[in-house]
Amino acid sequence: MALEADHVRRSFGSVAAVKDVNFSVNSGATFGLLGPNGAGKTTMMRMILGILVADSGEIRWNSGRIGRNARRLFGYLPEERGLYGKMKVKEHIIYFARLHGVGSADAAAKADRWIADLGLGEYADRACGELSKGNQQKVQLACAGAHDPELLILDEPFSGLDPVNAQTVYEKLEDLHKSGTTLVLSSHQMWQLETLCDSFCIIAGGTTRAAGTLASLRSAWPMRTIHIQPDDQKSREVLGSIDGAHILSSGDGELRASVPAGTDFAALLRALVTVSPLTRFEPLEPTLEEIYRRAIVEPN
Amino acid sequence: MLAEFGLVFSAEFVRRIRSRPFLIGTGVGVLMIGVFSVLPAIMERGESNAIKQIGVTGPPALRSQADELLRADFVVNDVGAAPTNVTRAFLRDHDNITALVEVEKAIGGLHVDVYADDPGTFPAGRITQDLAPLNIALGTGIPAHLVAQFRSIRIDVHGVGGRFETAIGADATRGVTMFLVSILYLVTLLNSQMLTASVAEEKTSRIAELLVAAISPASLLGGKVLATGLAGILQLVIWSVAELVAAGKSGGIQNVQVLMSAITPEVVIVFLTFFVIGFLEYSLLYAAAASLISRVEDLGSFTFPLVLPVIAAFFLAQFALQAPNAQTVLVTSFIPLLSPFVMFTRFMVATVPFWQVGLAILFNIAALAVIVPFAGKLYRVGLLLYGRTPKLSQIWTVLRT
Repeated sequence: MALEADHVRRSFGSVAAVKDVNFSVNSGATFGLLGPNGAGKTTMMRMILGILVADSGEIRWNSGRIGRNARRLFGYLPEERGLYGKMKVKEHIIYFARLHGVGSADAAAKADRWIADLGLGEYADRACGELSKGNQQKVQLACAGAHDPELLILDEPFSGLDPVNAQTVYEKLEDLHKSGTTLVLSSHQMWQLETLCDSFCIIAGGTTRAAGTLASLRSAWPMRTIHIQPDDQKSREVLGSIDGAHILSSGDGELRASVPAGTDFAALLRALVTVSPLTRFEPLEPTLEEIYRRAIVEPN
Repeated sequence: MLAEFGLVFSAEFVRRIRSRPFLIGTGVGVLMIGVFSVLPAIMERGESNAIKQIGVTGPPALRSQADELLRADFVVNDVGAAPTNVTRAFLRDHDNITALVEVEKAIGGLHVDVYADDPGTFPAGRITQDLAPLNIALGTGIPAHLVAQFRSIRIDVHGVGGRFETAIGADATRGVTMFLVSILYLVTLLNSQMLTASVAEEKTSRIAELLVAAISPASLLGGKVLATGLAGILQLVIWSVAELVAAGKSGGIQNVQVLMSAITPEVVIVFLTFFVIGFLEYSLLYAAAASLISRVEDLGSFTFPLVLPVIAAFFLAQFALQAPNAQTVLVTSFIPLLSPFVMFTRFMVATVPFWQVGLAILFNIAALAVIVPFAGKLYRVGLLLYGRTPKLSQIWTVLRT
């Protein structure tokens, strides 16, 4: 494992921001850290980066404690964006790369590469304060990644971006993933995380509510949603014969029902075909959003 | 660590000296030095043009003697015979003189009437001084030009305290002290406030979070403070050169030599020591205070308490210039935050035992030993405190964690 959080806890006075968080991230993986506002995601990220120290528990990078040298291999894009308004875009990226230990000439070359990749060429010599919010966000991403970090932590990287810029950032993250960078990111755009991330940790109230790959989270999901067409009495009777099944909704001649995950779908299909002129039978895997919604309201 | 520190330092220094407040502050400082150095000459010239133009009237023999004596301080115009009623128009018609001085012999001496355009500002005292020999001459019968020879007395002031040999040397030292203390005051106040603005900018724009994720808060704070300090020293050098040039212009090379004679190597060492100590104390406290604010609008109210000791120290130094051995001055010259101003002033204008200077430096170093970790921790913690400005109890709680 590249990154591991082991029963991490952190309080601020009497407020426990993180109570007990556990997860592990494989080297080169893209990891989604999910949770509602105030769940403890940002505190967790700050602890990984060493900005905050855990009260108890341990965070490890490549099986070792995270020290100063390891932290220089990390990159960070915080949720709240900030740039020196009067500093030029390229200077800004170079400055942050150099703060992470990159040599002067190398930093300039890396800045050029990021500027090209993120479509910031025409703004390279402009003051950051003159840029639009979306472009400033791309500059920040470049600042976070220009030193080619081994671990890049991105807090809400898509928030405030228009669809075109969001796609640019998405593609850049995919490139980083392909190049072997370990990515930890949080976002409320579940669909983006669902396609981008290999594994997830859902935290709420400062504790881990669910963790694992999407497949493992789905396999642990107790119910499946099934779409059946046409919506007729015979089909409802067949569904009614399954323990734990219930109708979710109906309309436009279609029936949506929830059935236990262990249901024998082949047998159910056969039973429905014999009683109804079936035109649609579609069991659906739970989406990440469904898993997330359930996880944050139901403690383990 | 050193590389991080160097990077922050160089970036901060470049940003600082390119900033508008630095450029304006330095430029305005040079301008003020220039203005203050030529102002007395301009005022004097203005005065000579305006107040010094007078006319003299009276019996011819008396008038010619008065003319000669008054030329020491005034430009005397020939106005002929005086009218019965002296009016403003009369003054204006005679080369715009500001006053008509009428002299006449009276019982036991001289009587003078002055008809001034503005009696409130007319220097009647000078007339009294200038015409005193004529008064004595009329009273005693000794010719006025002989009396005038005894008007000035040669006075030599000899220092016996061991600090200054001559009055000129003492005046030059006071002038240099005043200048250096003013520089210390301005550099501390202006640069500490620039530092707070910079910290507040990084805090409120959340750059601080990015920075402390990359480097240690100690490197960040150290680099910023040192860069600000160096920018302050640069400002100091520019202002000092401007002051020397201005002194040379207004009083010739002798003026510069007198001033330079007051700046001995010991003075330079003691000043730089107190400058560095004072600047570090204030800038660290200012930076720590600035790290606690969440909105730039709160900056003034949060750092105002720190302005008070700077102002107090500056006024105490003014007092110390006049009374370097007063009890208040003696005590405050050992109190950190105040002593960089007060002890330096005492060192300059009084005979201060070496151990007292050393003790004051030691007290300040001890204070720095407390301020550095305190400000460092407050800065590190404060940078991540967002939302409402924290209460003292919250700050204390966080500092203990």
